[in-house]
Amino acid sequence: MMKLMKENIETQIMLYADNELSAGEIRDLMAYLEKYPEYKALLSEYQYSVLQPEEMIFEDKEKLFQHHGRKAKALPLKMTIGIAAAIAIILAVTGYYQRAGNDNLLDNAQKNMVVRASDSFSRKLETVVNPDKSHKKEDPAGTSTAARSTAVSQNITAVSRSSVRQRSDVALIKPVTFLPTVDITADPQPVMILVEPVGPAIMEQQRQTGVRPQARQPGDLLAAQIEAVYEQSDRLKGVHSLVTELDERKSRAVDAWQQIKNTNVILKIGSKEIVIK
Amino acid sequence: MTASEYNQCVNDIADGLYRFAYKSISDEEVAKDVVQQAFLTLWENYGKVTVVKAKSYLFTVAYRRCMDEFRGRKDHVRPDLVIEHLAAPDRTPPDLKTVLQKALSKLTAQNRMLVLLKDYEGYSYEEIATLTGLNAAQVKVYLHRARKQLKDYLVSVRHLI
Repeated sequence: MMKLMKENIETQIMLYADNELSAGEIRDLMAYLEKYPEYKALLSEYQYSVLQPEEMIFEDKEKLFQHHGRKAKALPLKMTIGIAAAIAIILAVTGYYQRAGNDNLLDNAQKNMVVRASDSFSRKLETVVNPDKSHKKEDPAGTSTAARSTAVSQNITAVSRSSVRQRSDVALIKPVTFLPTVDITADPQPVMILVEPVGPAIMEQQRQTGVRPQARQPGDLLAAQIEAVYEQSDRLKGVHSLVTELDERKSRAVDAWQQIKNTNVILKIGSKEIVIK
Repeated sequence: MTASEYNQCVNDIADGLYRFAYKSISDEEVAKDVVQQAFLTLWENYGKVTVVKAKSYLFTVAYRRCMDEFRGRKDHVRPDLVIEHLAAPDRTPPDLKTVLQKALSKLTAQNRMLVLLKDYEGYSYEEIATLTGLNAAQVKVYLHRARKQLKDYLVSVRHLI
C-alpha cells in the first residue's frame, strides 16, 4: 500500500474521486486528511469535478428493435450514400452503352444548347442545360415552339445519358429500382437525378403499400421519386439548409409535374440539376 | 444473444449510449448515427457477443466511431487552451452543472470520452482500458489530467464569480 505524503496526496484524492481506492486505502486517506485538514478543500474540489448523472432519452429506439428474427437493418446514412453512388455509376455506364449509337449526334446538340420547353415553363422552372453556352445551334431561326419542344425533348434525354459519362461532377440516379440517395451535401458538385415516370395514383399506392411501384404510363411523370428524395432529406435533419432546399425543390418539381407532362427537362435549382424524363 | 435479448439491450443501453455519443461530439444527428451504427454492429455480431458483454461492446463501437468523427473534424482542443474566457462571467452565477459541461467541452476529445465513461457509466480504469484499447496506466494518466483540468476550471470560475 502506498504511503501517503505531500507528493502523492493529490493523486490519491483523484483516485478517491474516481472511486478507484480500496477500503483500506480510503481509511488511510481519511486519516491523512484528519491529520492535514488543509487538503480537505482539494478533496472537495475534485469531488465537484465528477459529473453528476444526467438523463438523456434516445427517441429512435423503435428503429433499432428487431421484431422478426435476423433481418437487414437500414444502413447508416453515409454508408447508404456510398452504395447509392456506386449503383449510380453502374447505371450511368449501362445507360451510356444503351445509347451509344446516338451519342455522336446528340453530343453535338448538347455542347451549345440552352433548352426552353416553353416560355412559361422556362420562366417558372429555369429549365436549363449548359447555361453558360449560347443556343445558336439548338434554336435555328424559324423553328416553331412545338417543333423546338420536340427536339428539346429528344435532346435532353440524350444529354442526360451521354453527359453522365463525360461529367465527373454528376451522379446519375435511377430511383425506380432503389431509393434515391445522393450526396447533395457535397456542394458545389451538382447532382443529377434521372426521374422515371410515376404519377399520383401510383404515389398513393406506394403510400398505402410501402412498395415502390414501376412506372405504368410513359407520360405519367415523376413526383413519387421527388417525394422519395424529399423523404430522404428528412434523414438529414441536421442540415437545415439542405432540407430547406429540398423543400423548395419538391415544391417546384411537383409544380413542374402539373405542367410539363410529356416533356423531358433538366430542372436546375441552384447548383443542382434534376433530369425529369 | 437472441432477438429478445438484443431488444432488451436497446431498451437498457440506448439512452446511455446516446448520452455518451452526444456529450462526446455535441451533434445530435451524428450521435444518433453513432448509436444506430453501434447497435447495427451488435446485431450483425449477435452470435459472438453475450448479453453480459453487450454494453461494453456497444460502447467500444461508439467510442471508435466518435474517435473517427473527431479525426475527421480535426477539432481537438489543445490542453493549454483549457482555461480561457473566464473574465466575463454571466451576471447570474452559473450552476455547477453548467460550468462542468463547459469545462468538459474544453477537454480533448479522448479525455472527454474517458471522463464520460468514468463518471456516467461508472467503468473502472481497467474496464475503460479494455473498452478503448488503451492500457490502464494510460487511462489513469489521461483521466487524472482531465480531472485536474476540470477541477482547475471550476476553481477559476469560482474565483471570478
